[in-house]
Amino acid sequence: MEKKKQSPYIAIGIGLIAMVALPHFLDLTALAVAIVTLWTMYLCSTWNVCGMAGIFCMAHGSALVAGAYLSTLLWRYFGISPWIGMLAGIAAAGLFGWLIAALGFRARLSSMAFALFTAIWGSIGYFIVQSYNFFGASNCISNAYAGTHVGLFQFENPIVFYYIILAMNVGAVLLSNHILKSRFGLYLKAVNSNERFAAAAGVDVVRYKTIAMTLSMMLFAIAGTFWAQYSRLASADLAGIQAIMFAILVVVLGGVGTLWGPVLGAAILMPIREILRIKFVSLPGLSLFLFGLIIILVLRTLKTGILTWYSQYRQKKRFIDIASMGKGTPHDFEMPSVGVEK
Amino acid sequence: MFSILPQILVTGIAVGGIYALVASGLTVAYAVTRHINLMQAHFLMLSLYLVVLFQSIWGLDPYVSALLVVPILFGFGLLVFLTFMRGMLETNVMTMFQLFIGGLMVIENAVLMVFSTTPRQAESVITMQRIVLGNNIMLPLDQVIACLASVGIGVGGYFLLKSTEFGRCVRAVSNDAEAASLMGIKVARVQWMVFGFSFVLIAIAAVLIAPSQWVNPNLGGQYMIFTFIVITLGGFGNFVGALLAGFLLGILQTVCTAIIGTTIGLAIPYLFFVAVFLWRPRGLVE
Repeated sequence: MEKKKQSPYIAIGIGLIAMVALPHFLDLTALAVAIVTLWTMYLCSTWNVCGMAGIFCMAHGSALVAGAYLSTLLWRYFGISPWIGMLAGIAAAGLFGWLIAALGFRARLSSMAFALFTAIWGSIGYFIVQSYNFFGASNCISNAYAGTHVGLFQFENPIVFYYIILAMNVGAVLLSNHILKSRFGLYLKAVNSNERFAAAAGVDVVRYKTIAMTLSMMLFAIAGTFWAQYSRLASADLAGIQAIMFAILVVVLGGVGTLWGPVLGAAILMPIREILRIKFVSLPGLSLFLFGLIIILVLRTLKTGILTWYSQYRQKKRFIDIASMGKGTPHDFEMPSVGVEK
Repeated sequence: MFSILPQILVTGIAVGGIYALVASGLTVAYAVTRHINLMQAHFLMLSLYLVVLFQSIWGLDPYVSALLVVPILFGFGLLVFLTFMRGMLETNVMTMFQLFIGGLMVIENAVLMVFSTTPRQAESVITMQRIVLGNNIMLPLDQVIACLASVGIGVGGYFLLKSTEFGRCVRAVSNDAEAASLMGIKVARVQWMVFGFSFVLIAIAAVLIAPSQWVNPNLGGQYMIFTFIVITLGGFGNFVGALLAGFLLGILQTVCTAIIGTTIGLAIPYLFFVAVFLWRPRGLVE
């Protein structure tokens, strides 16, 4: 194993340099696809903070809306810079996340019940935005574009947004890495693998789950503000259950609770989705139909996310190797530290 | 006010009956498999399209096409069980969830490709017909039928689960599948039969709303969130709870829409959910 420890850093370095150079080789359409991909990747990485603890939360759409609408409305009606609006959005999203977590976890809902519970809360956010004129009702609300201005988070050139979202992704991965290696991450993993055992071992389950969810929602609000500034409008679609379901889908396919699972999932799935969409633009529905089939096939065969499956597969192979060669004992066998199945 | 009250009540029970039928099947399926079949509401949409299709091909009345739709949906139930559930019951909840999302993408977009987004409706001989009671109480006939049928099927389903051998097996599996299998109950058989049963309930619900429901491919998503609310309110895996919550939600929604207005009426399921949840987090019926 020692030999392999160097290689990830080299791979990451090369990948990062490629990502930095990438926008200069893309036309506008491809750049838009790249930005959407990176944005989804950020959503997946930050949702994964919930995933590490096995919290199946679908209320994150409300956090996106908080980020998008608060920054837009504050700038439109009060002339407050979106950067400050973003902080307001983060605070609101955090508060909302804490509220839902406090309600849901104290009621001791099962994982499934909690998922539906949060889905319904997410829909309430959608409903509120949809039905009041202040939020532009069913229309979107444009964010009063005033030309490139760093203080207002507005840029003419989409490449700037590309670099911002790339930086956000790097930040998200670094944060996930930090969490996974910290004591907090250990608590989350313990809660994920078995809540009762974790509680018996002295982990304050409700507290750490609440923290994870609040943190994840706050990070989502940043993505909401980013999207509102990039697309120059805040729309209620962000709160729709579809957006968050898709993000969770990507995380699960990549590998829940792993560091690179969400990144890998987004990097594979988003281009596939976009390419299918562009290829079959004449027949609406066909692209998502094929996309659904791909998901079913992958999950049905692997029965878990790609990275989780891969680490399980490697452990199994190593175990067999050790056993057949007679070198070492099964005690060398390292338990997979990621995405423990329930 | 009093003259429209019976009509509101009938409409409410008819609307709630659909929620109740779809959600109660789902909740029993959850009880025996421990997984929520997210595609339930999408199959409601699909069977509405089947009704429309049979009418456009053979000119069948929605109520007659039940003879075809019910067996077809039963077949779909078995198909879903075989492709999605078999061998996957021990899988992580999140993974299963995503598998179903893949499934509902396939269904929704297949329907979209075949029928496009144009809303369609199946006409019945009794569409627009009304029962007139006394002075000015008028009840739409299709809603009266939906009302009676859903209550009847709900009661029937209750006795099926309560007092037949099959129902006893279902309850045993839902309590503890492992123990049930040790007692000689064929768990897999109970599971696929319950799946078929829940799909039959969808087919019946679809036939009942067909005469008054415009259907488009997004309908599944709209009903999905209501079925979530209903099964959460009824308590997970609780058949009677889901039935009661469904009827209650339908009646509340209709009454509030009629009295206060459409905007509030649409918010009622959510507000009601929040209120009940704060008061009784584990469902209305325990």
